Amino acid sequence: MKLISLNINGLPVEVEEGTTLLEAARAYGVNIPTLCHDDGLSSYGACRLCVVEIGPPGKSKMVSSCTYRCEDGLEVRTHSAKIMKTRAMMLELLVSSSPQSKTIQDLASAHGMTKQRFRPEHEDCILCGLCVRMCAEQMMSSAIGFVGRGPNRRITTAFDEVSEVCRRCGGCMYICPVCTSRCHGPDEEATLCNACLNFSPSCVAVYDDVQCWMPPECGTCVRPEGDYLPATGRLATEES
Amino acid sequence: MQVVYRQQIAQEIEELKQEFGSDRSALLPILHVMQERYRYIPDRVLQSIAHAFDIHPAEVEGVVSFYSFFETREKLGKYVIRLCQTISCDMVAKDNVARQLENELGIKFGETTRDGMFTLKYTNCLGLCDQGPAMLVNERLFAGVTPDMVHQILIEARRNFVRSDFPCFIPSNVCRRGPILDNGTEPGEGLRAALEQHPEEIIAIIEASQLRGRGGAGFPTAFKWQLAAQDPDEQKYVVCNADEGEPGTFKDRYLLTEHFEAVLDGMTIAAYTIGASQGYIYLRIEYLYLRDTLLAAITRRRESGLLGDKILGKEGFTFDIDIRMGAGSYVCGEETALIQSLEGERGEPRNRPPFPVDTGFFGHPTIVNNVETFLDATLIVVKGPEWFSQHGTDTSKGTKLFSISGECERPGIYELPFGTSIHDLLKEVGAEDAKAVQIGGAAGRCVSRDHFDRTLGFEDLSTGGSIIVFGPETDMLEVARNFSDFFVDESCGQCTPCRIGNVKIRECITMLEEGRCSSAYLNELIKLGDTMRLASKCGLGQAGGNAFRTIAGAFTDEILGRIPGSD
Ligand SMILES: Cc1cc2nc3c(=O)[nH]c(=O)nc-3n(C[C@H](O)[C@H](O)[C@H](O)COP(=O)(O)O)c2cc1C
Ligand code: SF4
Ligand code: FES
Repeated sequence: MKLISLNINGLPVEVEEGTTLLEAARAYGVNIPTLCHDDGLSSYGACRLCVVEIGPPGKSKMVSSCTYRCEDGLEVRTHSAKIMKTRAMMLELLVSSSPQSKTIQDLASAHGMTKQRFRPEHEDCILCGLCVRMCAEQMMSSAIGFVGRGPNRRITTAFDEVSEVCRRCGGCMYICPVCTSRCHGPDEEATLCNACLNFSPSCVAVYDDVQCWMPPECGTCVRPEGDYLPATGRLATEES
Repeated sequence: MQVVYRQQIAQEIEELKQEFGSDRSALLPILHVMQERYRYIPDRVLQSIAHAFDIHPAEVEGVVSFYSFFETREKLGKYVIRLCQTISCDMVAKDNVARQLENELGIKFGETTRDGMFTLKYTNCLGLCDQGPAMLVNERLFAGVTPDMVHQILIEARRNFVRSDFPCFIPSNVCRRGPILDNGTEPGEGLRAALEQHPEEIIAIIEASQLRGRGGAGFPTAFKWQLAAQDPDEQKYVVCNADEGEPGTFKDRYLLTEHFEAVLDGMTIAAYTIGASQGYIYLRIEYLYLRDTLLAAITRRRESGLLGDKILGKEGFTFDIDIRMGAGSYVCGEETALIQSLEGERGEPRNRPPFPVDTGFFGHPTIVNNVETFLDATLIVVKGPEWFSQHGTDTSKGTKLFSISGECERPGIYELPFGTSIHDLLKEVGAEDAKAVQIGGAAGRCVSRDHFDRTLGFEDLSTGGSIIVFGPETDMLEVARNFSDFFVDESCGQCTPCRIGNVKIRECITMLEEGRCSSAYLNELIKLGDTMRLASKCGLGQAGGNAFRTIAGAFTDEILGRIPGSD
């Protein structure tokens, strides 16, 4: 394998050919925030949070590090003032579209965001497409996909109906960074998953002896006590 | 009601697959045919298509819902009336035409008449900006529509346009010719000259002419061709970008009608140079009325040995050209989105690198060039690089076609050398009292009066040819709103800055209209425009804030502090 040497934040770095800037930076302990990237899935380059500057100062341009492959002699800056400002602005946009998401709130405050200037929208889904790729690439299902474009773009099953190819694996919920497609517990109306309805006893959250495959920190389980809200049940950003 | 049976649909699709091929790239052509047959694409058709291509229904639905000319929800009328809502038509009272259409038909835009005859829709730029308001009735184009014409047009439509009083074809308005338009080459002349040379020599000739892409970005053409030529891949493609979606551009439409042979020559020369065997013309659906003439020209060339096997007797040189229609999406003019669309996918821009020259159509090296670039290349091969590079400036050689519309006395197509100042240009078109000029369409920038000494060219004001003139009375906020609506409508919605940013800009314009925007907030939005420029994935998002930034910067006094309801 050919080795490529480049320079990240002044640090000389050697990586294998074909490595992305993001992988290289992470391998050397430089943490670049991402929202639409997952190591097990193909790169998509849509959230644009992972942008880095390449080229000498003054003549640099911004590229998404999750898609850009390392080149010999490349000069990369991952946390310059310009980058941080750009990321902060993008996080502010994301907070306005998904104000409830803990992941995005944390990222935003880590980037020094203290107030929200844009009107919050409550769109929730940030269209990072992780669930779409999860479904297609890991589950070989393609039960969900993007429809529409621009602000009407959303993620849903074909024809907004319960999908025949959905395996009820919950992979989409597992991977969602903003917990839009979170588990709302059993809901007969929902288009996706509902695997728990087939269990007996029925709900993963209600009965401790059924295994839940969600990571424990997900924290989105619906508990029977407290204010249990019946789910909207749609894996779509469309407002009902 | 027409009952559509699953089996019948499946059979139809099988037949269409015979015609268009069975790989994924046949998807869009098949969808076009199905939409024409059923006047919309019902879910069961989508399902059958998914089945026939062995892809998931969710994917097919994703593709169909991406393009504005496909309809999945309800049956369209026999005639779909699409009125252009983009800036140049907007400035010449398209609203009155819209009103009258609604009055005559008794429906609103987006609706279909009860008898199933007419559907009213708005659409973006139809490429007739100098003769607006422009309107399409199915594929038939109408220019300079006035409210009193509406009634007549509808009556004729009910008679299927038999013995129509309206012209079948609307010729372009060419106001000034130069060396390119006066070229006078014969079909095949450029190609004959090229085949006498070695591919490397052709690249050297193009390089010596310093030709840069005419689509807007100005990438050196010789370099693009060379990268593709170097690639060892056996299979390569040449694509002609005839998507012409930029508001205010209409020169490619003219070139396709009047100089098409030379454009085809250019594509064939490019194929010879890089070693491609297949070419595509990606023609926007709005120009459907051109397709048959273009196909006829291609067939003629096949018959006379200018396309096909052993072109002009050259051993081993095989090349053919096919036309692929778009389906109503501006971003598909972006080269990677165009390739996605050719492949039958949603027209979403890809990450670059890899660039199309090494990973293009189905992963093979592909060069995408503008219509005008191919024409220029042909002429350069025939007349030599010096003939071309004697015009223009040091970094922008040659003459360029400009599509000039808006408030001026003589709108139309102008061939002018690069380096022309806006001042001189306005004198030429008869608009010396202009208040501002938009250079480069919605993606370009607005230049106000005090900067009219700036020049057209890649080093200063770069443009694919769109120039829109705003007269002294123009309300610049309305202009900004029109551009902003355009971007919100046409963004693919993939990446954060463009999808959310464009909506925020539009919101800010609403606030300005209602007179409740502080200058601090306005400054934030201008900064947001910067972020979009830096961080967006493709040129659409990168340019999305330009018009707003430049208008808000130059006309701050005009747009702040409005009192709604007063004029
Ligand atoms: C949003 C967007 C729309 C575009 N639309 C067109 C178009 O309609 N026609 C065109 O020739 N180029 C268009 N381009 C430029 C193409 O991406 C590409 O640069 C061009 O086709 C290359 O050809 P050239 O080198 O001959 O200019 C567009 C670019 C962007 C970002
Ligand atoms: S910049 Fe806009 S059009 Fe381009 S990829 Fe991003 S969302 Fe799509
Ligand atoms: S992680 Fe790279 S763009 Fe989202």
